[in-house]
Amino acid sequence: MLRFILRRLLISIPLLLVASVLVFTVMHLTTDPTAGLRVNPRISGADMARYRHDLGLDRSGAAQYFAWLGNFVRGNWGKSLFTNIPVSGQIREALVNSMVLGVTGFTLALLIGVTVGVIAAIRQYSVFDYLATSGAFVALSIPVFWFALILQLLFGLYLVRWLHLDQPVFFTAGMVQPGSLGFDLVDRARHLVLPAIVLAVQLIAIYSRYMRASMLEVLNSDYLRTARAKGVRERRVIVRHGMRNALIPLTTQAAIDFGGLAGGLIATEAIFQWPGMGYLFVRVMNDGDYAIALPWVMLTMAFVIVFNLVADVLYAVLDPRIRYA
Amino acid sequence: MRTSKYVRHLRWLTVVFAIALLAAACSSKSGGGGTAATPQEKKGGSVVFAAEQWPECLNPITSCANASWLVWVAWEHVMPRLMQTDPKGNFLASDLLVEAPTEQNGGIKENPFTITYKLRPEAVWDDGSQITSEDVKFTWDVIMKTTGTIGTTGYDQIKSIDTSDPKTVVITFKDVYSDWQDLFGGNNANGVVLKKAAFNGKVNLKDEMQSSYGFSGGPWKLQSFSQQQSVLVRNDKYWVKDKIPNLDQVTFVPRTDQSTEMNSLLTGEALAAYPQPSRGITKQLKAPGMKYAAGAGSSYEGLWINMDKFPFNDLKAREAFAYAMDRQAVVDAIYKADFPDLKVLNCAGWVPTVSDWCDNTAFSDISYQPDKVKSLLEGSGWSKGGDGIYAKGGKRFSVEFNTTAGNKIREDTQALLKEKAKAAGIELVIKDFPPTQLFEDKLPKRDFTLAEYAQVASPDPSVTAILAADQIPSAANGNSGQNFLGWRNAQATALMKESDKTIDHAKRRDMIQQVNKLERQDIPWVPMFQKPLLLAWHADRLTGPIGDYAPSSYGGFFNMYDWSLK
Repeated sequence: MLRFILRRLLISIPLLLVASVLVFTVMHLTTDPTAGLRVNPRISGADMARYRHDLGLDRSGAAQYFAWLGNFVRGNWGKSLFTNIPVSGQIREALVNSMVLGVTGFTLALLIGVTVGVIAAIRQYSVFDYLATSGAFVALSIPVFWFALILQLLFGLYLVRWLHLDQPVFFTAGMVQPGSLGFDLVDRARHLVLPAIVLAVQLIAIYSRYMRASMLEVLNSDYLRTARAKGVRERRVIVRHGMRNALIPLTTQAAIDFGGLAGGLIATEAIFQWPGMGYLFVRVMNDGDYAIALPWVMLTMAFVIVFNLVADVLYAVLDPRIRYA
Repeated sequence: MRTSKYVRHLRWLTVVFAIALLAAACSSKSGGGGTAATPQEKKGGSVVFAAEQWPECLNPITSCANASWLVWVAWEHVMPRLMQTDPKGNFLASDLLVEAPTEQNGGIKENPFTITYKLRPEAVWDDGSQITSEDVKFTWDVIMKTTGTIGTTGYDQIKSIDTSDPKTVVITFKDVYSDWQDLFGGNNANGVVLKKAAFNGKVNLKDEMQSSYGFSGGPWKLQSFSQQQSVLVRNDKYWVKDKIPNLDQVTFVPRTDQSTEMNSLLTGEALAAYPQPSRGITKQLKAPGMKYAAGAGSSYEGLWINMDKFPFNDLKAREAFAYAMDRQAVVDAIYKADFPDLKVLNCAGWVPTVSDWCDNTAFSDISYQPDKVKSLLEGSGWSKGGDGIYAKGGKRFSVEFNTTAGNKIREDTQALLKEKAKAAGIELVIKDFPPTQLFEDKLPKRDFTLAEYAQVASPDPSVTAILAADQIPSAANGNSGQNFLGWRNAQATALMKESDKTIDHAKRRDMIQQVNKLERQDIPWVPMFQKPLLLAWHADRLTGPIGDYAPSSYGGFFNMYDWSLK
């Protein structure tokens, strides 16, 4: 197992390098960090040349890339091309914000998705099962941005009007109440609910379907029949024997999904103005700020690689029949 | 005995009651929240405004300064400046100056060209220290010496700044510089005065002012700035007493998705917003308690022609093209529903709402006239093909028409113009590009034939950078210069350069209007209209001269010191 893990980690290094070269090349060819300045008539050709020199943009693409890579492998993530603000701080802040949102939505999705899936499987073809199935298809079909905007209007406008509230129960944008300083847990939670719901809805749909299918397979297995024959109570049969095995495929899928959270949730973060990794990515791609974009790519890819590995390892841990060479 | 005790108590009660009545009659009106200025206004309170874009950082010297929203959510409320403009784009003295320099008051002298500013004796920073000529000189040093400084144009024309009198700034230039009003003020992105004492002797400020200023010389102080909000609080030390803000605190929050911005406004989370006008926006703003003010802004949309590419390398073809462009239909069909006062623009580089450079007549004879297209083209050897499109020498009058991809309003404009042009015998082939590709690649390399995009009309009328013959980008000059059109008119270039050195407003206006006429003669491009700007707010909660600066380049929030809660 250790050799397997080491091998996977070693293979990921060239993968990360290739990804960084691809992203840099695309950005270098399609974006220009100075595009906004070019159309400012107060900025002369001499100003532009000096500005490009100050930012190192007058060097060749290869020179810029290797200069960045040399610093990166030494742990120096550099500064933003535009703001001169250290990249590591910006990415750290965005990552924390995305993780808060992601973990909350993810936890919600797992708890509800697993529960719905198990009940739907146990009560197959019941009203609950049909409702869960239809609900899952609706949730999967809803565009994320549309759902987010509807929730904003519902909680921000209509419920406030109908219930004559002073302010919304759940806030519709941002992470904190505007004008507030310091940390207020309740305020943060009220801002977190709606984006977490938007994130969770589609995951609930997916996980409930996964869980239902997995449970149905397990419910008819021989070992459960044996357990029942031995007089084990039904609840214990379902939870301790059935669910435990049915969770294996879902666990590995969830581990992979979790790894993707580091890349942020572009649509959700844009609509709820949540300053996470997705929001940061859109900003830096528009600006052509490769100084931030490249570490961003390396970090999100590392997350995906690590959590893919975690998924594979978990699979082997949970199912003793699986062994890696 | 009991009776006299009772009477004694009654007497005391009577005295106390009388005193109380007297006190009530003599007291001034005051409430817990401060003095009410008018029956509807209330001093104090905190408000939230939505910002459609968000600055990356606060530094007004480096590239962050290129973002208009940096100005609108932060520095214009906090930093002093020397000259500023009124809502109509006319230059005037800012609150920092005793008066604007003129030749009459000795503030403007020639040989050498010198501008003398008198700073107000009472002008102070928020810590009570004086704003002095040393601060202005320091700012000059910073602009010239900061790594990544956004632009030194104009500042590099300064020879020296005399600060022997702390309240007098004497700027000597190398040569006559007519745009002096945009230095340390005006409409320049880095038109500020910085506080020298705040930087401990540093002049390279590339790492400074990323998320705070630490000083204020404006009606507001920046309390905090992050990617989530910009919080401004009243500066009680501001020396212009009637511009000390009525509100205690204003918080700007980023709402960069327009749907979210509208929701923020409609739900009342934000009490005002300054959204990019889009189709149907005014319908969304017709909600109870909402009001909006719209006006023609200082940026203008145009159809820009590459004069070196077929068929536009021929004047008659350019003229015919101009008569095939139905500008009025674009205004009527796409903008009129939301902005009924919007008009076609007939000046090529200036707008009627910014100073008096534009009399809006130069292109007034250009309207949609298919008959004129026919007579011009057929008179110069073109003939209509079977497909209804004119051709000459085997080449069709077919033009690739570019604009910024993903901009719905521009895409609608293209579709309408294409249809009308086809009816007149001209084919437009639409091909759009992402903004960075269009502005970074296609235009500087002059790899386009016809493009639609916007420019900004400044209170200073210079168009040399975008229209002078020596500003045409080429491989030889490293694609520098912004005359993407390739307009080579020696007379116009000479007039532009002479105008840049002319201080007399009337003489300058004459020269500018001559350039305008030469543009009409050569038609290097076709002006379309001024882009509207719009400020929306909750009129049931906010009061004051809101909307006065909606069309201004200073943005709709400029005079928020004068706004109050109801």
